Amino acid sequence: MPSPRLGHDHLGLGIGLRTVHFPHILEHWPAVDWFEVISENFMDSQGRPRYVLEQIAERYPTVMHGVSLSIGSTDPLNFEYLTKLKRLAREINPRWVSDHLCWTGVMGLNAHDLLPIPLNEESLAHVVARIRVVQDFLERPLVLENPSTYVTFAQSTMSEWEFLTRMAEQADCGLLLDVNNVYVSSVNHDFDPREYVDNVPHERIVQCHLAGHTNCGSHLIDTHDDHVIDPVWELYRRAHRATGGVSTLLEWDARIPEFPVVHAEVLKARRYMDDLSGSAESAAPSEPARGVIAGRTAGVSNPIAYIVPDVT
Amino acid sequence: MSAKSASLDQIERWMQSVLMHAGDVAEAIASPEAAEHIAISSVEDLRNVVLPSKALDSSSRLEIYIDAYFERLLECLGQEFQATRGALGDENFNAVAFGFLRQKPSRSYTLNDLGAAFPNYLAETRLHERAAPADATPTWSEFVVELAAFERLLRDVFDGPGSEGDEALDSSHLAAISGDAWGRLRLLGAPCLRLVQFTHPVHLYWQSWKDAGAATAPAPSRTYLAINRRAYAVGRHELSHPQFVLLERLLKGQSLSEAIAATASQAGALEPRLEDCLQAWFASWVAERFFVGVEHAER
Repeated sequence: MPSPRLGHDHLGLGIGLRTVHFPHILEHWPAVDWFEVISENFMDSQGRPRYVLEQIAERYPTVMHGVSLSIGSTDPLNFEYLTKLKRLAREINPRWVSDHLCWTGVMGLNAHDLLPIPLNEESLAHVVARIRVVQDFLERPLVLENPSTYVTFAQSTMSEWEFLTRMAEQADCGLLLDVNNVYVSSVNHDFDPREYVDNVPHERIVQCHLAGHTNCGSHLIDTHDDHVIDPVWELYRRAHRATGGVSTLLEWDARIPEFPVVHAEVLKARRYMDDLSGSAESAAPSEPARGVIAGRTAGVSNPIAYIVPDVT
Repeated sequence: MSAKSASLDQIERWMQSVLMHAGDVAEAIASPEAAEHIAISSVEDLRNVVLPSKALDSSSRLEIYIDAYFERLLECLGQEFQATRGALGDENFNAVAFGFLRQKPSRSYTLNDLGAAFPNYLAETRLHERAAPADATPTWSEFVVELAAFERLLRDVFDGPGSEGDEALDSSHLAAISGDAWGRLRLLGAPCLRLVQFTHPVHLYWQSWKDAGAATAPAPSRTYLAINRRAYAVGRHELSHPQFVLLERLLKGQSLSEAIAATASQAGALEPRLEDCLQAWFASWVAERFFVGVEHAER
């Protein structure tokens, strides 16, 4: 039986580091517990983004969160990328390194999306083997996140929580439970999100993610552009109870508000840690009657933070 | 082969071919690129790979990824080439950028590389010429290519190697060099210093667009620029032709005397004389951290 959180510290309530907040952070050094950084935005940076990151990493615990590992791809692992990832980890000393259970491209291409894999024995063996190689190379356990997904495959033979459980145990890796992604996928794929949260291996959950999403009526899109909705908070309460509490982070990637608004949003998590009144047997959370945004104006799924050159 | 027994590799190759196809789902699954991996005869048979949900059929679910693929990357290109997008207009820019993504899909793990080939794509295809306004100058097309190249260069300098960690070369270093050693001096350029020449003053257009959100395409005018970074801020410096020649020679490793001689030869008669300008030029360039050190060439 692995240690809770795979032995990692409980860092408290953190925020995804975004460049629009650089001036605020550098001026105020806000009382944030920790920051998560997008690895790809900094692994090649030799300019201001990297300079700011180094200052932040000196003052706050940091975690590296990647979007291009492509652990589910059938292309060979990219060791140039892994070498840069390892170098960045050596230089900023993150508490852990995470990415997603997904693939981002094959045949040498990159779609820059977190694409879903069929959940079956073949893909499980493939992913587990690759996680082991990556962990050996990085010389640290990998932490993998459940992505929001919009399709399921006829070739799948198991649930996502079963896949994650077997993957984490066989590869001896950690999990990043994104409760918003659980919720988004549960609506898109017609399952009960409580069953998902109840059945992932809680002792392997190192971190939780929270975010807002967009309701398109027929489906949800993980847009990271709004406040966390109540049903997702209820799932968070459930996850907190099951895990005993893990490092928790808010992602906000589009229509990003001022830093204090983002910070206040993640601090709401305290209500769901202290207040244990919510019943574990409560009704399945359902989407509140909030504005439904149609089709193509809804925003981009799985937004990937991109550094826009700040040239004045 | 049967879609139902498709392997992980086949599913990934098929799905990527579908989502990078420019047409709708029916066209995408019928395309040779997708059918090579999984043959699906109709949208109705799509459920042999992508299952429907209670609310959406298989095609609509797949469309979410198709839409997101182009939307995400168009947004990134639009953010990197903001002034170019302004010059073309959003619709025209997206049409050209869409063609670019179709022809040159990303092969990098980072979105920072996505726009690297975009200026050359414009130069080669000239697809943006369709967006020329009615009152466009005859060189408008070239102006747009140069503007895109300028914007890409700003990104490269913004996040590329810099001199912030190096000891600054200041005027006292230069003043301490004895008179007879001056001619043999070689100046080491900052790694972020770029010299570039355009046929249009793209930097002025870019600044106007940045300040006011609108600008008028300029008439042609030979423009020499030094783009540099100091304290993590990117600066644009307009140069005269002699200044450009001198800096170019210095960055190529010529000694000061060689570079000055070449400049005098190339630039022709100057008023004021070249030697009378040099002190002010170097004072300005040193203050802007164009150089990170000096070497003394062998006699």
